[in-house]
Amino acid sequence: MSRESRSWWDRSGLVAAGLLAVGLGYGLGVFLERGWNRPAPVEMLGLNSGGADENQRVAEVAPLGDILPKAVPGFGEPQIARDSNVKTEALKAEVARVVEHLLACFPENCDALEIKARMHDWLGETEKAAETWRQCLQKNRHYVYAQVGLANLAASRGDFQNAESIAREALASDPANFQARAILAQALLNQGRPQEVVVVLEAALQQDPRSLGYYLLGQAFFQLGDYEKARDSYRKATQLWPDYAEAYHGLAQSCFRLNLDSEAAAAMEKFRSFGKPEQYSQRLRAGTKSDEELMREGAAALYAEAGRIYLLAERHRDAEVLWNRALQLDPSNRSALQSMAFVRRKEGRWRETKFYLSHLAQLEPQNPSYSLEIGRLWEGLAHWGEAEKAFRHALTIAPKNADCYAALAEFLLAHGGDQKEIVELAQEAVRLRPIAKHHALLAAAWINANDYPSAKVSLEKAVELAPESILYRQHYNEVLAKLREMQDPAAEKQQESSGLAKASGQGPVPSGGESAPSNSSSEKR
Amino acid sequence: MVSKHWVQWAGTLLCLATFAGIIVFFFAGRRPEDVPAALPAANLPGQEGSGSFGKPTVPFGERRDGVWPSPRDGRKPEENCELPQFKDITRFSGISFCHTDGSSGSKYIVETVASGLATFDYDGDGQIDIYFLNGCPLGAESTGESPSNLFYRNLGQLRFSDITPQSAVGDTGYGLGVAVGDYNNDGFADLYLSNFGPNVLYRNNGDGTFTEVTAMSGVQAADPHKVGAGASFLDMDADGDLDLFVANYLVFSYERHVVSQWRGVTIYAGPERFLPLPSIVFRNEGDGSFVDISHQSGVAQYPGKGMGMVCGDYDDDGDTDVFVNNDGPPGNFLFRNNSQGFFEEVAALSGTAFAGSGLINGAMGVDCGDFDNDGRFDFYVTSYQGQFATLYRNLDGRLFEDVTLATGAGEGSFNQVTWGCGIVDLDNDGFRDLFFGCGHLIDNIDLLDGSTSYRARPVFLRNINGRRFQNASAACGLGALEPSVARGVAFDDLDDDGDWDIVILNSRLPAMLLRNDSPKERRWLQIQLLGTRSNRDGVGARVRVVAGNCVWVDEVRSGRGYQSHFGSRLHFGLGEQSQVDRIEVSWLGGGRDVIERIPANQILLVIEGRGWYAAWSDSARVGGTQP
Repeated sequence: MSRESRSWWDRSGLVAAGLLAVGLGYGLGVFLERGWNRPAPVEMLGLNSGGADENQRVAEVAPLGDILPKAVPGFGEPQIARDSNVKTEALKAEVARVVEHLLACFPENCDALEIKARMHDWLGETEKAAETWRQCLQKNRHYVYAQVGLANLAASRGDFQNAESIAREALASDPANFQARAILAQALLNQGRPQEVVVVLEAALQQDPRSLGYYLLGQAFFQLGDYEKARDSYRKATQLWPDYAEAYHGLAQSCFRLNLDSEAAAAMEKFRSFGKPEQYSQRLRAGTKSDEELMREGAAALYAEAGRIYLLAERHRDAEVLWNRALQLDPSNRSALQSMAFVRRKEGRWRETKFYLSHLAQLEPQNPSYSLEIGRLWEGLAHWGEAEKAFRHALTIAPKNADCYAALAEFLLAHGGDQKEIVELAQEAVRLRPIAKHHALLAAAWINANDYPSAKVSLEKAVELAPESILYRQHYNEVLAKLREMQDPAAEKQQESSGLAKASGQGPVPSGGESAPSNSSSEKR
Repeated sequence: MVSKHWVQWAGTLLCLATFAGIIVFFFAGRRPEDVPAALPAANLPGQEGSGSFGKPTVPFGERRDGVWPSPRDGRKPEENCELPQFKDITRFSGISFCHTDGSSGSKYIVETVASGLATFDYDGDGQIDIYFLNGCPLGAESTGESPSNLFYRNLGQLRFSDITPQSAVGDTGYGLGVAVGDYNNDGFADLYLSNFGPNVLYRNNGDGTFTEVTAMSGVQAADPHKVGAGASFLDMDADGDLDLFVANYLVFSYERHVVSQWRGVTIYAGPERFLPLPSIVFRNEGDGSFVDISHQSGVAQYPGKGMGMVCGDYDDDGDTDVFVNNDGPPGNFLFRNNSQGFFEEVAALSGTAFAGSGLINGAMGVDCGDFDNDGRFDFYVTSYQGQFATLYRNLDGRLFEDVTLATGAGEGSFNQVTWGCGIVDLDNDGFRDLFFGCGHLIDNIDLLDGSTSYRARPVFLRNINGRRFQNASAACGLGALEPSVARGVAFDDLDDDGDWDIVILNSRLPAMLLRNDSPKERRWLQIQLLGTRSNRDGVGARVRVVAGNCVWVDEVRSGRGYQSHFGSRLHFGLGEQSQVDRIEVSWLGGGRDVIERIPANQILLVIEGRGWYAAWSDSARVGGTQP
């Protein structure tokens, strides 16, 4: 090689080495900056994007853990250590930084902007909250959370005409949004239009019963002079929420008008017994909680929601940091607990999942959903005894909940249980909630008990309720075939030889085409 | 060559045109995505109009019971546009009163509930005078000269003169509530002050001066930790002299002073942090002294957070009952009189303890009047923010119904704290309207909650044919007022022109005098009662006025609204009736006077058992000892 060419190579090599060094250095810096933010596949988490923009671009922003107090690590023994020392002013500043981080990461995300609006609302900055919600609507005119926020704000200002108008827009965006429906109903009531309240609430509550909804409906019927319907509505409200003081008052007034004096007196006595002044006026509402506690709860609620946005964007670590921080501020924040349980379950970290679910069950002892989830958890771990115990516990605390009966019946079907009990459980599920899934479950119970005629009847009902289900129809045909076989075995054998499928009659009939119960998604609350 | 240049120029122009089009498109042609039309900028409290001033949407004729009177003139209510006009003439009136609540930053709860005022004729000259209660420095700051209550004499034509020193009613205590009544039946109205600490009774000497007679009369209620509230003179046993019913708010001491926090900001503590107090009942012994019969009367067993109160015979049994509104639990009290001075508390049974929704409101003030002209007295109670001022309609003399939402009687009140109020016919159309003052009690609320405001304007709800109310505040000139922090509100005809004028005491601010310029084609009648066998003021007497097919009833009351007193001279708006066919006066104790065929537009003096006098002249004045 000539001297000239060699020196060229030398220079080139130096340049290349320098470039390589720069590149490596840059990569190392990126790695250090990002920390342990290993993205998790969205598919594994099974989430959809909800209101998030499909083409979301996540900015290169520092991890959230850098701006929050050190949270409990996501690995190791889970714990919820309450942070009672944070002062309100420091908390306000912290929340502002978190929201700033959120918007830096997701500048075009409606959900992130809505969190900002809720922060302003939390601070009492109603004008800023309203402006931010309007910005959400400029990005997405059907963004129901902004519509609900604005409607609520209008209502708090006493502008019920505006509240009604916006609430109607929200319901048009999402007919299932109960908050919008409640705001609309209250706005109509406050404008003296009870007959419209009935239209808004009556049918909707049959699909989605809510104590507040029945209370408002009761007020509407009372104003219309229909005291019987008012009484029935107030009764339902108290059944759904036994501590609903105002509903007892309404019940008492309705019964009094119907000359049901003893029931009126009992309801009024119940109303008086509550003695909870903080329920009755805005000024008194905070009587039993300190301002700092209320502020922490508000911040925790914001963090819990914000965490979901990070999760959807695959910033798993940031989401956990926020949820853990939410729990430090408010260990009773259900949303954060549910989110942690959900994520841990998806990651297969069963011990931690159970920890969070147990915590939720303690907070809501009357809610069977958590016991059902714990039961499924144990089932997935093949701890049959613990699983059965959890399912039975769910049934104990919610003896009128069809899903509890169904869950236990499915479990016993899958893992061997008393045939008679399985049938009784499935029958009760059908009685409480006669949907196709439960009829199919009952059919499986009958099959398990070798009662094919009864199974046929149940599957007929399932097919009738869900005619689109190919699976139910298939199983129905199988049961029919089995019945024919039982009547004429020779004929059936001939049919078999001609290639027709044989009814298995083994194990549970999958409900609605879903996978086995241990892999089913969480119960909808 | 020519064609080549042409092509070049054409190409260049085309490019420039395209570029210009793009610029225009981006900067002028596009608009932000339309936001739904239902999202206007917020109508901020404190700006022009407060709350919703939109057209009411309650359809006409949606009543259930069908027993309400039919529309008077057959026209739709919206067509009846003869509204009163309220004009702030304070600066021309000579009234320079500026209230102090004694605040110094310590945020004592007492500061939030001051004060009431009284309008009454103290010297019998036929002109209504004004007495303002005042606060004073509190706690360690209470040294040196203290401001006093102020008394203004009405000189006529809405001009007033401060006569506090010469009248000797300039109490320097912390004034909260006031009642007016001639407790000794000497023909001159006396004053009772409900204070933080000991109360005060001023006896009117009849010569333009008063004498403080608290100790000798026995009505001091001298607990230094008592935060007083509204008070009323009433003849509870119909023995011809005025007794005293005194509501109380709560127990407060500097040693147990607390504040609250909200969003990290220090605010006044709420009443739930303090102990309640029962009302006090003093029986007039007839010799200038009173005896505390709170326990015997049954009232002492009902502690509450009393604020406003009003007396009225709601059950039409001929005696005087008492309504005390409480600021929060346990709800309002309705004390039904058994005619012997014993009171049974029946609010919950009657449906007046709570709002119809079951909420226990933070109730501030109350007035009593017949808003629907059915001959029965209804109650209107103002409230805290996030609650409606509540209208309780008297159904049958026993039960009440919350008709606030059905009638629109709560419009303009939801996002404000509402205080002094009146069920008063401000436009003389024969239907009593609603009026209330607004203003928050958390003085830094603007930092904490954008849905309300510290200062606000009063609200006038016009009564549409006794069935519903329409917020006419802006149309009546209230929208032009400076937002203030109202507490006591009083209604009286201060210029004797036949319509109610309005005086508002504002916390920490100058008082406001609103002249009412109602349409003059509407007729009216005012009646001043003078008892001879009954108490001198005719307190508790019921007056029934009949004109054509219209009937109105009212009672003489002492103490009403927010810890205030007004309306001793009864006012009836007659609409287009030019003559009153019949006036029936039912005095406490059973006496009855009937007057027939009285022309409208005058002030009558009706003397028990002796007839009546028209207008107000020296010869018609009856004073001194009982004739």
